[in-house]
Amino acid sequence: MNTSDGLRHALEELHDPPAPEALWPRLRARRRRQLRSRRAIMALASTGLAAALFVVLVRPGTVPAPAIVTRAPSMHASSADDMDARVRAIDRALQAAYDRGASDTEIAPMWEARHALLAGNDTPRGHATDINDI
Amino acid sequence: MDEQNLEEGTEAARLRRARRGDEAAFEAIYRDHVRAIHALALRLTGNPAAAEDIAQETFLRMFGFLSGLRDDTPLRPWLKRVAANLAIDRLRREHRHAGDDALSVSVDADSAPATVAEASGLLRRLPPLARTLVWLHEMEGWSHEELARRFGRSPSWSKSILSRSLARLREHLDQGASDEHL
Repeated sequence: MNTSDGLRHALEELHDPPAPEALWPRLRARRRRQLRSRRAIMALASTGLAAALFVVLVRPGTVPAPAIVTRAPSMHASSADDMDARVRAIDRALQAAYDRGASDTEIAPMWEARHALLAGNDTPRGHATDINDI
Repeated sequence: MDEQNLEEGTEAARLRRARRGDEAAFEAIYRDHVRAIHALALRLTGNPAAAEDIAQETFLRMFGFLSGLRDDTPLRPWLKRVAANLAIDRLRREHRHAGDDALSVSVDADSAPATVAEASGLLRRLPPLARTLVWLHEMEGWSHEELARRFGRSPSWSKSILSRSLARLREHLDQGASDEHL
């Protein structure tokens, strides 16, 4: 047997030393930590994705229904307030006109304006034809 | 043992079970291969603590890569390749400022000449780079091209270091053999 063969043979004959017993518990613990953190990351990613989808799909202004719900009442309230104010202004003008004994030609346009204003409103008051019904 | 039990005991079956999160299958795979993987890491690094770290990291990578492993992948060569790559990366990281000569040819001058029976000790006395190249080329069958690629060098670099390292080993073996006959 020459030295080269001897070297190879000697290396081949080497016995594998046993692995340390503590290696498996360490490996198992790290594996479990790895799985836990992976699950936590997945959960976080899922939550993030859900939040992103929520923002993209349900954010205000992109879906008509919530917009109507949130905006319609305020528009309605605003236009009703405006209507009331204008009707009250006409009523004051009418009252003043009656107080000073104004003629029918002076008063009639005021009534027409009042009727026209109320005709544009769908509230029950819109059907009133007498100032006392308002 | 019936056919189903035989099939259940195969590596492919264990891999399938491990992929589904079966910890007993993980442990069975580990037990089958840990001794060989730890021994390889120990021979390449010569350092028991480093060998443990490399063995642990090798199995963690296998567990993390289970879905990418085909059922018929022979695990032992795959694990050995991962462990060897980890050892090489560690060697390059730890000795990035050292020259090749310092890492490859300076067999410990104070050590007594070795005999064939002391091959393990002889191997341990080789410097890290030489030890790694000798073992991977001579025992694990890595080609010079593979070694060169992994070390980011040329095949002639690998051939040169291996040739000098083997020459030193043979000198020690010859010396040891002549001492035995005295």
